[in-house]
Amino acid sequence: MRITKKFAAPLYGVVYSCMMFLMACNDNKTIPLSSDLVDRGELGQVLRATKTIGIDSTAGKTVNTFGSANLLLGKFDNIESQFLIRFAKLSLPDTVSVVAGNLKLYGSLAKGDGANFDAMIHEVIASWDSAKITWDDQIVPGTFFKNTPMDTQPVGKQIADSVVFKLDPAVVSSWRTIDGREKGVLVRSSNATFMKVFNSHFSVTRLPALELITLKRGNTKNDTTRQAPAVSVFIFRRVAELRKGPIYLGLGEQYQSTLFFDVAAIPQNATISRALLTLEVDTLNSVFYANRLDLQLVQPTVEFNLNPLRFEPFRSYADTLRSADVDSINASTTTISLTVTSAVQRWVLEPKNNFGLTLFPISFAGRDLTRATFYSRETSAARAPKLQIEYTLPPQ
Amino acid sequence: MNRKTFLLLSRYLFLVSLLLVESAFAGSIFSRRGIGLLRYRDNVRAIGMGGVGMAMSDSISFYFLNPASLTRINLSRIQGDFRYERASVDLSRHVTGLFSDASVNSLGLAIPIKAGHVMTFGVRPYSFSDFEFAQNQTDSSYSESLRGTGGLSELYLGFAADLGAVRAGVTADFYFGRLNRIWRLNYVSGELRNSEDVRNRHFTGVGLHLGLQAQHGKWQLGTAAGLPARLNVKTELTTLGGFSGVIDKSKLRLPFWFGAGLGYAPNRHWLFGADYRTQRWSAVDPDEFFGDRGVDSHDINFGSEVIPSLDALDGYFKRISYRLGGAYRQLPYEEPAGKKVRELTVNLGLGLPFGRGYNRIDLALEIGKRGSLSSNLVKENIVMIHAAIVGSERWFQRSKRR
Repeated sequence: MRITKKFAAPLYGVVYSCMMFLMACNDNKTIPLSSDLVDRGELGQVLRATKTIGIDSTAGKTVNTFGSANLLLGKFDNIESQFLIRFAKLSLPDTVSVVAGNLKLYGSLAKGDGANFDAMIHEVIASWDSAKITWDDQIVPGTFFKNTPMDTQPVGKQIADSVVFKLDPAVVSSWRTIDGREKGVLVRSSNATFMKVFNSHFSVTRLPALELITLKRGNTKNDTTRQAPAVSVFIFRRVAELRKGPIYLGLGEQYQSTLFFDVAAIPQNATISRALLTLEVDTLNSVFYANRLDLQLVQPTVEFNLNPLRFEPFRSYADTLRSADVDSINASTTTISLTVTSAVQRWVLEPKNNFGLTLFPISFAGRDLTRATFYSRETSAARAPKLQIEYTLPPQ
Repeated sequence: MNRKTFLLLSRYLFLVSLLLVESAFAGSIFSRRGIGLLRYRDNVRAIGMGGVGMAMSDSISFYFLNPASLTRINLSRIQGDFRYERASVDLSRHVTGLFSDASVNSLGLAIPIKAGHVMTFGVRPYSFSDFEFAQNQTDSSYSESLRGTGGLSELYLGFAADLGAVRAGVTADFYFGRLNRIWRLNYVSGELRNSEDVRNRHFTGVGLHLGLQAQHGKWQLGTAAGLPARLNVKTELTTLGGFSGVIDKSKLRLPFWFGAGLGYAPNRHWLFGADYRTQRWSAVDPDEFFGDRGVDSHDINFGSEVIPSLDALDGYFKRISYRLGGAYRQLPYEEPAGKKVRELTVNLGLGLPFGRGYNRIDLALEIGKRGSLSSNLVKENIVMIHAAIVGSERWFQRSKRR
């Protein structure tokens, strides 16, 4: 047998194929870590730490409630509320006169233990901006609304109760003009003992309705038509200051809170496996109108003043916040846990950028006067917010 | 395309494809120490003879450790080799493991400048690290693993000259490479983020080694030595959590090594040889050696080669080189502290000539064991297959007119 150049290429091919075959024959079975061969120093560490809150700060402000599905009337939890309604320009021909007008309101909830109270409906005589108005906007008799009510009706505690106010036909008739459309009516109470919640024009069902009884010139029989409001909004004020100390989260009084934890003791090269923020709800001091309160935890990415006396969480802007987690609480919730792994990892990597976590309410469409209260380091050191961190450290 | 062009293309296509294959190393539990397991093996022909090569010279393949051996090369040569390695790990208490892998080992080029004067350059492995420990946590909440990969390589540039009575060679070595240590933690629950901490040690440094060979009758003598080399070591840490940075900068001194060999060729068919090589790893400070205490390494090799016929007109099997040898090595680490690690192998080899005898495919098989259960608490049964192809070209040489 002779090997000449014509056999060289097949020889390469055979050797090359054998090499490729051997390369494909990789097979590994690892050695157990528990064997004596492993130096413990070559392995990383799995650790756990619990951090108690360093600084917490709550701030709240009274906000405009336009867009809410609720109209609150009465007094509860040291908050007094009334509401405004107005209708679109009435499209009644001059040959039609308004005989009578009724405003029908449908109840959805009652909060508080008091007895029935009287609700009064007043003609509004000043213009108001539905998207801005709050109680602070000079809602006073004589200048904002007429002193004398058009009607007074009792308000009951039965949830499904409805209230029908009789309206002055002359006032209703004035809503044929643009001027009348801008003013509407104010529903208020001076002796409320509980808070009654009615559906607003944003409600899905059982909307408030204006019932118009009209008579066409030359006719003897009245016509009845119904019309939904164009705008409805409740306005409220706190009559006694809220207790300082707890961490609050609220909708109507829009409370949001910032929590600061010091994680400087965790080395910069740690990998955060999980960080859970746990808050205990002070159920006795919480007020729930709706079934639940949705909340969002965000991580501010710009510096603010950490002095709790001067801290103003509303100075954080949306573009400086990074979402951390969302959750919901209801009247039976006692504890919530929020995952903040990414936020804590950033704090560990860049301690100077630890600006804490801000808790926001996010149920604006269902805005009412729900307020969740959480224990803080001031109210209970043992039940104050805690950050449980599971992390690993690289081998030394 | 004519046949000559086709052959040329297939040869270089083969060598280039070797380079394209991702370099990997076979595993060894001992490779977790220091800078990994050292690659003392060099040249597949020598491996077939138990590692003997210090005193041998060959006109076809080239032996890196003694650059003086290059002087007999009279055609430009490209040499690439490949290795498959399998290590069955046996620990006490009937715990076993298995590492196997295949990869390109080295690639080199030797160019004769003029008769008896040869330049060479190429790349070859110096050390490797490849091991893995893994285990599930007893409560099954996570699995944990520790893996080591990577290795040091040498980029070399050498020159050899035939000075008459002796042949001499010198090689400059540029050391480079990276050793990776990866610790992983994989949680079963998706609520927890996994961990992966990667520590990379980058090495760079320059060294020099030189060699001499002489022939007296049927006897061949050879000696080589490597001067201490100072390597810069930069350690980087990268974590899955986002940390990344240099955590340490240090120096590592590769110690002086010395080797000597003896060959005896009673006729043109038979060749017998023996080598010894040692390196003073005990002189390395454990702090430089990443906490491991070095032990002087010793390498004793012996083997022989027979070529039944040198007549090109004889049958092919008579022109094959048949090789046999054995090696004893003391590795440069203790396992555990105070216990030296030894390696024993039996080697077989073949040299398959082609292309009118100008080119050759060398094959070698090593079977042996590394460590022992009684002293090292771990034993590896190793099987290695080596293959090298050496091609030739007539570069920088004027063709003789017919």
